[in-house]
Amino acid sequence: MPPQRFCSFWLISLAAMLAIVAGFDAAVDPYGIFGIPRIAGFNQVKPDASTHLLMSKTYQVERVHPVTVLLGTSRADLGFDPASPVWPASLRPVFNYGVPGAGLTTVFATLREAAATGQLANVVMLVEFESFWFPESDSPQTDEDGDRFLLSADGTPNPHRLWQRLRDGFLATLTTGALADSIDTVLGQHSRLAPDLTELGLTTEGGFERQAADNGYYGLFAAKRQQVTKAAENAVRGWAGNGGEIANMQVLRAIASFCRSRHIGLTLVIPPYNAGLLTIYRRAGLGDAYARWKHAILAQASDSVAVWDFGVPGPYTSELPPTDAKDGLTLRWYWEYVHFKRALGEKILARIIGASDEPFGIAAPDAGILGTAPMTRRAGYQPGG
Amino acid sequence: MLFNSYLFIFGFLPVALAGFYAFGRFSRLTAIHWLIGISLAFYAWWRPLNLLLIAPSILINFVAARLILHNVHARPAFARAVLLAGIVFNVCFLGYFKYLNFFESSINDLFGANLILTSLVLPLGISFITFQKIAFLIDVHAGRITEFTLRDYGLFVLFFPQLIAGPIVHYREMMPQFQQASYKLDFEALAVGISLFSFGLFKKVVLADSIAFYASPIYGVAANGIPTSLFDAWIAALGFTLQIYFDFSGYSDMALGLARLFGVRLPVNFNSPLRATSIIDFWLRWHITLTRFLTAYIYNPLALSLTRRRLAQGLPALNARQASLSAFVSLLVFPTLLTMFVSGLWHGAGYTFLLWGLLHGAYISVNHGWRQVRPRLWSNAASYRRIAAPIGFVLTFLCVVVGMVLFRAPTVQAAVTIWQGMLGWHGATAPQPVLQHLGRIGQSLAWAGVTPDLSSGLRFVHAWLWTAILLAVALALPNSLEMHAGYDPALGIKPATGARSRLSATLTWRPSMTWALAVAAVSAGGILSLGQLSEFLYWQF
Repeated sequence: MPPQRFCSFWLISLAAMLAIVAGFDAAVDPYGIFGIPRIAGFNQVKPDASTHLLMSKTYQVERVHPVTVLLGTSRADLGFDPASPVWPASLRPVFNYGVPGAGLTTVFATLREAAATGQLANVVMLVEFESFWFPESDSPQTDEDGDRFLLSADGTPNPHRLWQRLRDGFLATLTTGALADSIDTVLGQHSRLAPDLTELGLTTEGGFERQAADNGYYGLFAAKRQQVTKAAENAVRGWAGNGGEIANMQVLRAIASFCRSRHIGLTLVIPPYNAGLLTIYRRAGLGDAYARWKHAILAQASDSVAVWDFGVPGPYTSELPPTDAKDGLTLRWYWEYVHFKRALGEKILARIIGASDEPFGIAAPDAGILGTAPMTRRAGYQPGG
Repeated sequence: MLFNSYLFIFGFLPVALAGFYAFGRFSRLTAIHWLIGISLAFYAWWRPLNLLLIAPSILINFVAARLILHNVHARPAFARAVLLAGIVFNVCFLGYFKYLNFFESSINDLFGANLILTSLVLPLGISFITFQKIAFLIDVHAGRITEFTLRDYGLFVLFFPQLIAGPIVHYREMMPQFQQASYKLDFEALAVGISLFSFGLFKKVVLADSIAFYASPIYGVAANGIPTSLFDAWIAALGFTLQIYFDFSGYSDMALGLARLFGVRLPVNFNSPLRATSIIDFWLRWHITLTRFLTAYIYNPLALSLTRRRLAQGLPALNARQASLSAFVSLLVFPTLLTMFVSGLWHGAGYTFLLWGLLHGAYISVNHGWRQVRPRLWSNAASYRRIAAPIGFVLTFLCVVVGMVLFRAPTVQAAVTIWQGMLGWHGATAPQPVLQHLGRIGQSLAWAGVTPDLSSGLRFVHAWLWTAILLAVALALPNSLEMHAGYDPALGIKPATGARSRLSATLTWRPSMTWALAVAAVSAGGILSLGQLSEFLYWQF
């Protein structure tokens, strides 16, 4: 073959291969950013969306235009089902914008993004003790996360959005990572334990189910114990470094103020803390800090902010892990010390919506704090209206 | 600008090539000026300020070289003084930017001083450029270069495919090519260049960067003083060896391919060093142009000078058959250790690099010592070669892997921690699910003292699987130079003449439809992996 033809054939082949890869990746849409229809057996389940969760959910929330948004970290991401039957029609569509590892500033950014989609009326926000250990910087996310949002932090249209979206589209179609995730997505369709990111933003529990099947609950709890023990020891230093003050309360107040100014109902939810986790915190020296923090959160209750505390002692928080690797015990409410199961999340949602009378969780007035605001915002509310 | 970036591949390179061949159709000089200009732009892209450092340095070296050239016969003492001044200038230039901090911190360490460390940004490729400039001055003084212009010299130093990380080229092997080139688009050169560049890109972004994901964190853990278990330590050592192998091999292929796109052949710089059967063999395959420089400009002059001094004192010189211990130590071990010390220092300003250089100096000295005594211990050369080659390969491989820990570790203490781990001092653990899935083998491992841990089984399996695949690629497959041997991929590479294995014959590159498809697949793999930018390891030197 003459070298000139070699070069031409190489160029055409390369272009064709890249086009095929881009087409395949776009069709599979492993991160759910293009909103390509989900086809059973091909791309219905998105097991790899969790690798770019904030990006995926930002694209999703703009398609959903939620009336109610669920905010928080991985506890919210996994624990609160936006498609739960407990949600009344007036509060739907509900979107789960929980982001693993999100600090309060990131949570605030996701709230602004959800509000910018147009019809947000209610916010259920999981407030977690761990988010108040270390002061956060003003920049909530990486630059590219911020560049992806509809609005800049000051509320003006985001000038970087178009470029970032082009970049996202490119990286989601023309990279080895995207190709590997697309292939994994197609192959993972028939796996019972493949985690999924639903169109309403819920990460399903397949990942934990697989870990529980592989390592048992003992393994899950043991690994988490190491992590949280180390984190709690660091937190004691962080707490001391902050002069014993609760960090980031100003961000929480800013969130409340943002919701109030836009007539968005805000419900703060203290998650059910497993008794074992609280023991670890107490042993690390965080017992008093936890009590003070909880008091400060409950004090946020007002006519526009409802506060629920599910971290109270009771049957749902006292479930303890297996004590031996050979113990095949299956827990009903927890995956490990930190993450509660969706079954428990359902009970929480039922309580705060008013669909259950079960004596689980305490609303702020009952905790001795004045002021509570049930989720009263009506569907169809337009910000600024 | 990185070779492995969208900007370089889809922006800079096409523009550079189009301009070069467009200008080349009308005027060779304009094409050369374009090449110099585009190389300056390439160099300045990262940090424009670098130009203010490199440009005066080039000018000073050019003036020094002209002075040497004009005076070498008429006023040899003056020419020699200028040569010396030029070398001192270049060494000081390099020393200031690269070693000042290390020098100051060493004084602080040794004498408890409190010298304030200076914050300096290392100009890109300074180590490579400096050696190239020193070699040029010496070659001019030795009469190996008899004419040059500022334009030629500028192109020689700045030619972008070799500017940042070598190979360290000689003026006399580069400039004749520029003088004889047609400056017309040569599709064969284009095809070979594309192919070499694509293989290099794939090695870098797919192979090297992937194994780094598994190896790098372990060095971080060791640097924090946390003991490393047996399997982790070996993943760290083997993983980094393979990472730098494919990183440098990939860079070298890309440099060769890029130069070839402009019709120029660079000298071979990397030739399957992990297949070496002795440490001397290793250094003839790893960073070949650096070995060539160190041998020609440090080792040989030093060994020659010491030999003359010994002979003047009436002492015996080094004899290939019967060397005395004192001759061996003073004429071989000492120059070798000093040369490899310089090699270590050149690679990085840190104790780990110095020790790495000395360690390899010791390896080479032992290798030379064995060569001295072997004929007396094992006189049958044929049987020796048959038996010693595989033993030599294993020993060399282990020595290289052990040395690479020092090369990669952030501190000597971290390297020691990983070495201890490799010897099993900190015990052996493996993920619980892996031990469970291994069944009886897992039970045997448990019996041998391997305890379960809570780390990810999938990551553990991937790390070992990836290591095995990369080892197989490095050791069993023909390298890029062997694959392209029929098309002069580099200076110093000749087409294979003897009988070749079926695999080698199958993987011999030729301009065919199958190869166009294969190279397109390799290019696509490389391009699809550009999402995460990562520098070449050798760019830091």
